[in-house]
Amino acid sequence: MPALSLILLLSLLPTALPAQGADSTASAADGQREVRIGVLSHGGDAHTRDHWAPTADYLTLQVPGHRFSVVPLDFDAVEPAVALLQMPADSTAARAGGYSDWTVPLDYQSVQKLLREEHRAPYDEEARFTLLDALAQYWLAVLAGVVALLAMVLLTSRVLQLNHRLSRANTRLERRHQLILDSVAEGIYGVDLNGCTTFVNKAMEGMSGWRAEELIGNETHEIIHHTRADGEPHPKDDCPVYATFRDEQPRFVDEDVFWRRDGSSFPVEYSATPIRDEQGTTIGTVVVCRDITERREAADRFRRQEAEQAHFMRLSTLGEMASGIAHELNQPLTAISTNARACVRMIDAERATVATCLEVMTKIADQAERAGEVIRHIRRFVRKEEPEMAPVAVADIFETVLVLMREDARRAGVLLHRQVGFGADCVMAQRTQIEQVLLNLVRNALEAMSEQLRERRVLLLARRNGDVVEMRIVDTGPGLGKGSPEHLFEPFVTTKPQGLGVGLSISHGIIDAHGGRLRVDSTPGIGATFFFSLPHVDDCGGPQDAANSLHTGGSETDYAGERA
Amino acid sequence: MSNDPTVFIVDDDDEVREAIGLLMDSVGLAAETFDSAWAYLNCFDPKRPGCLVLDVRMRHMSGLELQERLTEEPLHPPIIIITGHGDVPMAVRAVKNGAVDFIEKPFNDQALLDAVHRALELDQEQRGKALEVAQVQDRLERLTKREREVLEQILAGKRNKVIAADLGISQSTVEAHRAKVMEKLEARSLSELMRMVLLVYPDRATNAAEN
Repeated sequence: MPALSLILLLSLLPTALPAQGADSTASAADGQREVRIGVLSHGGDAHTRDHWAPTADYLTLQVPGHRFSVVPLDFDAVEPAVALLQMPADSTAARAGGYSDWTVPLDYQSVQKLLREEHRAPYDEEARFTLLDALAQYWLAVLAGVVALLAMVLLTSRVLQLNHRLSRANTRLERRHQLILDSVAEGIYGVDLNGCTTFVNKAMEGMSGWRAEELIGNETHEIIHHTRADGEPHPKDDCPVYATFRDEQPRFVDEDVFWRRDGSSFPVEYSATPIRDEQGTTIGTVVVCRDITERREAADRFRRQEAEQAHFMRLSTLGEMASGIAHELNQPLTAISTNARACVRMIDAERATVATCLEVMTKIADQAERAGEVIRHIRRFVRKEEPEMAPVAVADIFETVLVLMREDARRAGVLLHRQVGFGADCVMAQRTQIEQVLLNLVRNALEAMSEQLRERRVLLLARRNGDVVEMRIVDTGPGLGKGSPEHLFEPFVTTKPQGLGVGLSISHGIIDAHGGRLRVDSTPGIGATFFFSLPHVDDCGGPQDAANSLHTGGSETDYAGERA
Repeated sequence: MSNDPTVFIVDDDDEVREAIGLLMDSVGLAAETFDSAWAYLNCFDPKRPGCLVLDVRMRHMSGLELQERLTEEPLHPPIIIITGHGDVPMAVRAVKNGAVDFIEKPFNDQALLDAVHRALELDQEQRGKALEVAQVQDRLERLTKREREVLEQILAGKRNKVIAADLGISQSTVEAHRAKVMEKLEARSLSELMRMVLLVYPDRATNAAEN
């Protein structure tokens, strides 16, 4: 088969076809009409003739009275052929050529197609191929396409709608979360594994002064947590918030500071909790913090009030001990004045030797110092001082208690002992408050023993116990009555007829503030022991006064009357 | 030595005690110091003249307790109480119990010395009186039973005639007994006799007044 064989069938009825290149010598000698079939040839005339010969023969057999023959046509001959065909039947050329009754078998697809493409009659009036043609030709496909498109559009819009609704729900949820976060009074913020802020609530913005957008995405630690309360830099490797996502352990920090936008700091307590995703992997830390400025201030105020109260109590204690203390001062003053007068008299009577006078002068000086010592203890005891803890020598505390209580003990016929155990030299304490506690307890002990015939002794004992120093006040009194110990430290509970019942309660409060607990151990008929612990420190910061160097580490019994 | 008056000082404060001792020494008075009431009681000798300077507040035995012990003795040195602030009610009690003086610490040296001198005079007086009492008692011992009875009647202020009637003896016998009583008691007059007896029996004065 030729690759491209365009067939042009020309029916010459009854006239012979005088086509260019075709055999125009049609003869009707045998009464048969000659029909020449023009074939466009590509593979050469001979090939075309051979190829189409059977068809011509078949047609000759099938159509009686006609003889078909094949006329190979050059491609170039087509145009004139077509032009001939289009000639009106009555045109001169057609009549002359006898083409006027030539027809084209219109059912021949290829011919039709060619005619259409060439815009020849009957297609010369026809417009070019339009969308309508396409529609007409492919309406089913178009319909299917349109339907599919419509379905797709519907589906897409549905998906978009759902998506939109989801995102709105998401936004709403987020807003609700934010609303919940913002309605919390505590500051809340989150950090990711890089230490960058992921979210911040309103309270956090409010207390820190930082806007959320200033914090989010930046390293929180460097913004609000860079420096410690004491002004030392706070390296982020030590940051508990960061440590929380590293070791995945929730933690609570009760004393720290955060820094505001304006450069000031505020005290906070906060909890840091690891945030985990659905898979349980830690992805950051959430911090819930609280500004404790007010609480701190309230605590300070309370401490100041307590200090005021303690000061008042010390004054009142001192007032109650006034006569004993006056005696304690009277003794040296009496000795001083008497010695001086005696010396004057001896000099007047010219009986004084230089040696005697020297001896007397020395005695006078000693006694004046003794009086000064008493006054020093009293003054320090009533001094109004800030409730600050400082390292104190235990022996020093005992000395004050002994000086202030010596006379009362003497009157009560009680022996006062003191003993400072090895390594129990220094404690961290608010000195006068501890002295107040010891005075209270010793006074109670003296009072408890005032009626008894048995030996009357009070021992002040300091003993090292790990990192604390245990202070014990042991007496040989009658012990505590039944039922009293549990209520003993409550205010206004007293076993004394004239007691107010505030001494032990205040003592209890003081020891509480020192982080200890005042407790009592009592054996009826043997004695009572009150005890509490104070934090131990290694160094008192140098000898604070004479008592420190004199009695540290030693044990001593003060026979209450040895000086009085 | 034992006849020179001594100032006994009892105070448990070494410094005060020694200062008072020095003060006594400065005016030429002999002084002895004791650091407790017990120490003094251990050395107590009623025959030694002097006075006692006593602190109220002392351990074991207070000045008041010592004072109470001493009042049980027939003769003891007069007591001067020295006291600190706040002991005044106690000191007043001591004075009521017979202390001659109380002085508040810190004291004026002159005040203490005055008190000591007064006390020493009193002691001397007391000792003189005690001597006299002892003598009178000694003499009273020498009276016979009848002479005692007569003495009683005389002290009751009765006249010889009444005494004779009461005792159922003659008036001349009464007079003889009376003379013997006067002689034995070495009384030169009735008033002297009365004074002597009252010295020994102070309660008789009230009896006499009643009759």
